[in-house]
Amino acid sequence: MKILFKIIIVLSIAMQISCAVNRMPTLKNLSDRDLVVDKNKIEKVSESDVLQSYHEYLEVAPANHPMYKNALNRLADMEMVAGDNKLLAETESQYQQALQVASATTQDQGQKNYENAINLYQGLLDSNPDDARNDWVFYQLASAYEKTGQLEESLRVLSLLVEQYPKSEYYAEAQFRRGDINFTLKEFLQAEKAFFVVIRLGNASVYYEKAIYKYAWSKFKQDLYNEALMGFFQIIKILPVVYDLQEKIDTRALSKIEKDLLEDVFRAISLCVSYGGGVDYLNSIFQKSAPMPFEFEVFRHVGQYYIDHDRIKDAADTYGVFVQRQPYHPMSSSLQIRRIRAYDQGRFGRAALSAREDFIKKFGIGTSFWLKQNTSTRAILRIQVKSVLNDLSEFYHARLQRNRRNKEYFTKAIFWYKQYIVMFPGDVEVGRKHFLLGELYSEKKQYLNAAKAYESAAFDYEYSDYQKEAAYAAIDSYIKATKHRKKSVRKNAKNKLIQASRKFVDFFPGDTRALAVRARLVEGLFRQKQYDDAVIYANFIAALNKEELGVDINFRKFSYYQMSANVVLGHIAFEREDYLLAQGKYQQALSLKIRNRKLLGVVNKRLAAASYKYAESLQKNGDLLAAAEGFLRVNAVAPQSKISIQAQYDAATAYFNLQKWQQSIEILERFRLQNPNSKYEEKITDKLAVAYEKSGLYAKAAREILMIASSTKKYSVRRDATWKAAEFYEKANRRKLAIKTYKHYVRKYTKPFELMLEGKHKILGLYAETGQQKKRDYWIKNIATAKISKKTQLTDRTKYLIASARIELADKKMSLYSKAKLALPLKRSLKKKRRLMKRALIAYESVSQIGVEEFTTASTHRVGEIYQQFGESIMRSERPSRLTVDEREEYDLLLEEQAFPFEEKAIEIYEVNIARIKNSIYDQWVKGSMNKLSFLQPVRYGKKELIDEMYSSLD
Amino acid sequence: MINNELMRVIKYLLVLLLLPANVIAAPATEKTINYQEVFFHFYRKDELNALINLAAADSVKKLPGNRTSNQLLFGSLYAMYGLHEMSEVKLKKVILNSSNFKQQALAQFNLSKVYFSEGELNKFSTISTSISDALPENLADELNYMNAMRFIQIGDLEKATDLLDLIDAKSTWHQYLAFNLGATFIKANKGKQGEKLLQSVGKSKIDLNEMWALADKANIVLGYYYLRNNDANEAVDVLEMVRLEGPFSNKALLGLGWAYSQKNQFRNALVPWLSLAKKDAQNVTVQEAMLASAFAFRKLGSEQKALALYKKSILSYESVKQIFDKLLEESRTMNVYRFLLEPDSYDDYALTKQIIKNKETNWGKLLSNLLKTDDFQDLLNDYRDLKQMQSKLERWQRDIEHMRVTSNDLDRRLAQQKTTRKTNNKHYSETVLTLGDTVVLQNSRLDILLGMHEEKIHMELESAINRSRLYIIAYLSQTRFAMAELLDKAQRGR
Repeated sequence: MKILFKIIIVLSIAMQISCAVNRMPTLKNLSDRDLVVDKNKIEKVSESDVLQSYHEYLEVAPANHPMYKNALNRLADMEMVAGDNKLLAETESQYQQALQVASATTQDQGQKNYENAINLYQGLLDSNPDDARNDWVFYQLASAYEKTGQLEESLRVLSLLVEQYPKSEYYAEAQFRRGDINFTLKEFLQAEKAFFVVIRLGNASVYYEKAIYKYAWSKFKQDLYNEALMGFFQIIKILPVVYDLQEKIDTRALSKIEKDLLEDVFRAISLCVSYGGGVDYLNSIFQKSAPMPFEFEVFRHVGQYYIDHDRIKDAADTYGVFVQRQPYHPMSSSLQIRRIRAYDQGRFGRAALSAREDFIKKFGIGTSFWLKQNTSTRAILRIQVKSVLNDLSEFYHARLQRNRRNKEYFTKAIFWYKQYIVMFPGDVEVGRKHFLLGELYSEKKQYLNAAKAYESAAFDYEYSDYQKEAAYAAIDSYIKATKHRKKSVRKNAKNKLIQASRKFVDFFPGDTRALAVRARLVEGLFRQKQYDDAVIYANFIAALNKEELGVDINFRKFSYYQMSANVVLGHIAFEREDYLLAQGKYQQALSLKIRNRKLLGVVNKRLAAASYKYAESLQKNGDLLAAAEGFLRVNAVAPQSKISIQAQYDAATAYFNLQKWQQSIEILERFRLQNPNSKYEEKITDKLAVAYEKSGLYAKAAREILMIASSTKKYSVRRDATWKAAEFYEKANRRKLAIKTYKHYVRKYTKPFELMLEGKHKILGLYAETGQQKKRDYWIKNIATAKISKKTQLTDRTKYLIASARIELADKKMSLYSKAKLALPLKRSLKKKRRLMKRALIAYESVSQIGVEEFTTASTHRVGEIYQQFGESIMRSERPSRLTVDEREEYDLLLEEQAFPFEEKAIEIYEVNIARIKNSIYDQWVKGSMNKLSFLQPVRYGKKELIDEMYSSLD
Repeated sequence: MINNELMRVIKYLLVLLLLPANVIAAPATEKTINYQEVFFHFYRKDELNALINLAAADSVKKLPGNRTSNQLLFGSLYAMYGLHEMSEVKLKKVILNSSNFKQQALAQFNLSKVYFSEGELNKFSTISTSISDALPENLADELNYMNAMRFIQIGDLEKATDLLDLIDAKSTWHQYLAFNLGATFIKANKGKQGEKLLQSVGKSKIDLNEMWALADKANIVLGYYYLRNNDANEAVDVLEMVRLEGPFSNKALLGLGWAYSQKNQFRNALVPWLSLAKKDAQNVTVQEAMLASAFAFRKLGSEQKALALYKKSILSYESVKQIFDKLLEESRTMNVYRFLLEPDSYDDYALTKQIIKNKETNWGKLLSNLLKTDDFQDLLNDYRDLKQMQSKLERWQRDIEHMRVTSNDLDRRLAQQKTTRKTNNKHYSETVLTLGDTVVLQNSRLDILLGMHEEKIHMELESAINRSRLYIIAYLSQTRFAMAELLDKAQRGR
């Protein structure tokens, strides 16, 4: 992708440059195809033109250019040929023989031939003593003497040459050779003079440089170090040395000979300094002289000389003096490094340490030295500063490890590590420095600082092998910091721990510890309520497959991490009220085995709570059936938990509300059994009562209701419950229990009066059903004689009940009355009947007093019947047997007279009932009264309508 | 690159930092337009502002889409902005939570791009194989392209070739893959397969500037491949297909000359070489063409012409060398080229445009050449990003200062009233202060990074100048030697 992007950029730039809109002409369309090239040669090329060309090439070409050697050889050949040509042209025939002999001698015949040559040259001199070109012969003769080891002879001939031919072209060389031979013969003063002559000839001579060199050596041999040094310095000045960007000599531009010469010069200078008084002497020399560009090289070589001769302290001092002399010289820092190394070599520990600290002060990044340097020097300096900073920080770190309580070592180690970090912010090693800094802080238990450093090591820099360890160490430090005594520190550490853990798992997902870190991260995120992120990491762990993980991890640990991830997922889902998910996660956690009992307890509790809450949410959403099942599951997942008690009750309630009575009853009965002292007992009773009732289990319902009654102090509740229970017993056909309960009711709850009376009425009915007439009679009397203390107690119902009881009693009295026959002796039986009539009338009167219409018409009618019966009884009474017809007639008339008022009274009473018709009262008793009247007064009341058959059939 | 991770952290901090700043800074009525602004910035390729507006819209609950679609948008923008870790988190959420297949596929696709660009090939492989058919066809081509590139990187060229067949032959993805695959085959000494692919790209007729340029490039690669294998005829054929005015014409002209030269047709070789030699001598191909032209004249026996060309070349090389010497001198001041690196807008190509604008200057020429290297592009891109960040930070710093002044004014007014708004404003003032401090802090960090980048660019430029200087010295040396040798022979010939 990256490559593609780059290609696009290049192409886009190129396209914009070319402004290409469409395909343009190609190389095939190149013009000038018919190019005409004429053959021609170069005319008039001189040798010097060629030589110059090669020289120009050599001027620009680097020494490593492939043609460089070719050019050089070619040039040398040409120079030699040119020299030979010149020599041959100038040599006359008389010299040819000697020359040939000398050449042959040199090349082929060795020592003996040289001696022949000496003879030949000497012969030439002898034969032509005044020849103007004898200088060349002297020259060759001296050379021959020299080659045969006859130095004094050679010196003598050369002296003749310089004396006789001061203008000779061989003069300079002859002088030089004189100096050289004198030097060999340890005639240093003579040698010095001869060399000086050559020097005075100037730099046109090829022997100029060599003469200075030899001159300087001659001075040295005479212990004249000042002059010797000046001579050596002069050679350096003459040599075509160039200085590179660090202002040191770049010897690449020198030939091998020049290089060797330069090395010799520096060796000689070192000797001069050493013999002349050491570095102080050298310092004094430079102080007196004008600035010289090679001063650094001198100090460097002198220092090296001392090193080579085990004069370590002198070497270090030498480098130190240079640094002091030229603090901003580009190579000052390098010499300070050499100084440090010298101290190290000489085991001057304290001095080395001080020199290192001094180095950073003087040459560190950003110092005035640094600011004055060019890019190239800075590049070198960076390496040096790094090295020194490394030494310093490692030194103090190592010292601290030996003496952990030393504050100075700690402070300095920290300081130097930080210096490195500050000076090289983008350096690859900075990461490692941060790491070591972390180690230091960690050793001093400054865990927050340690963690910060570790984090920098791990994440602020390019990849390195310790990055992972640093990232983990940061986490470890944050963990330790979370145990700090200060709350603010602990809080900060916890936050940072999360961030560090995130980074670790994101950057090193494949690390063996990543899973553990992730697991801890999940817990941390959860504690900080960063649920979204916690879920992502926890899901990742939960979804891991051990085989695919690719990390060797203990199965038990792996299970533990997955379990704990699931626990957190469960907790979060719970917090987010996603109870179904929470259940799933808790169950997964449980399936992975929770070995920590406390956690197991928490998870079980939470699982139950989640199950419960889930069911509760279903309940809120109206899905009562699912809610009920959900509540029941709570008991299944956590049968021992408190919440399961609540859940069972709620399940029962849900079923109850769904009118699933059977299920509700089962749960509630079991609940009651398991939780005898539950706070829900009252409610359970209520619910059971209803459920039993709805299920037709009235007896059970009654029992529950009686429990309600017994458990409350509230009068109305107890009263109503007792009533309801009685009713349920009645419905359950448990008459005995019903009677008992009603009796309990009427005795206990006299208010409201009406209901009490109703209870009594119920008892009546139940006794009637059980055929307990006597007991029934008792309760009829009880009702009939009920005391009305307030008018308000007289409601329609109470009136009715009392009236119905009274009428029943009256009817009984009526029955007794009806059964009483008027027999002889009439007086006695009449008296009895009258008494019974009176009782009946009183009884019916009491009914009428109540004023219940239904019973008023009945009692009126009965009263009418009493009177009518009485009249009829008189008329049907037993007649005395011994009466005559007349007597009997008179007796009947008398009886009729006696009976008639009763009949009249009866008619009057019946008419009272009839009169009620106009008030729209017409019932069986009114009708009965009318029947009676139609019999007693047929003209007035015996009218019957004809009923049309058709209408009847239509009904 | 100086420090990828540090860059990433800075970007991350910027997003975090600027979110509250933007939300606070925006008046209530403007908050509603955050979401539209997201797209405005997105189409301007200003991912940072797009991200900030998206985050702002999210924080004031103004995102119209559902949660997962917004996560997808977040993830994609993070990916484009280079915050790959954050992108990964968002996209993984979408993959995990979305029930919409298309959304999932898009998230997986974007995640695979993130992994691909991070070089996480294993992760890329895992995610890319799980992408469903719900991915749009144009993205499927890109996915196949990435997959093929992965195979190329792990050396399985057969599988990469199989994937090439799956990509729409008319798409640019097909062309780029064919080019990359062809070039890789050639590198792997499987010339025949490489030839075929590069020929197809070289003869491609897709009428897009980008594709014409790619065709040129394919023909160049092929041409030089034939040259290495001494197959000059084929080399001539393909090199002659390269456009004369295209970006690679110089390289093609040079190669064409060498192809004719390989056939000993020096007269023909002279045609492209002389054509090239007329161009700007700062270009290394032009420098080579000058020397090669003289060489051809010599081969044709035209020594005088060769000598004249050598002399002319030497003058030209000397002049270019002086230019490089001057550039080297100027580079030490650091100011000369800095104007080229000052982007005048948030446009991603602002720098490039600036360089193109100044292409006729010596610095412009140097930078244009440097831009062809990956490292320098990375460096410049990082520098551009940092400059943009700095520019944004400075703007926000001004905004925050304005907010601070407004808040202080409000404080004064509220001080005269008894109102609960005092507390609100106090909180606002504190937030503004904190933001201001954070912006200043980030700005100083950016300054350090920018300084490091500038130093690095400076070093790169110096190194590039030195390289070019070495080239010109090499040509100069070679020419001087050739001329000396020519003269030497001429002199000895008599």
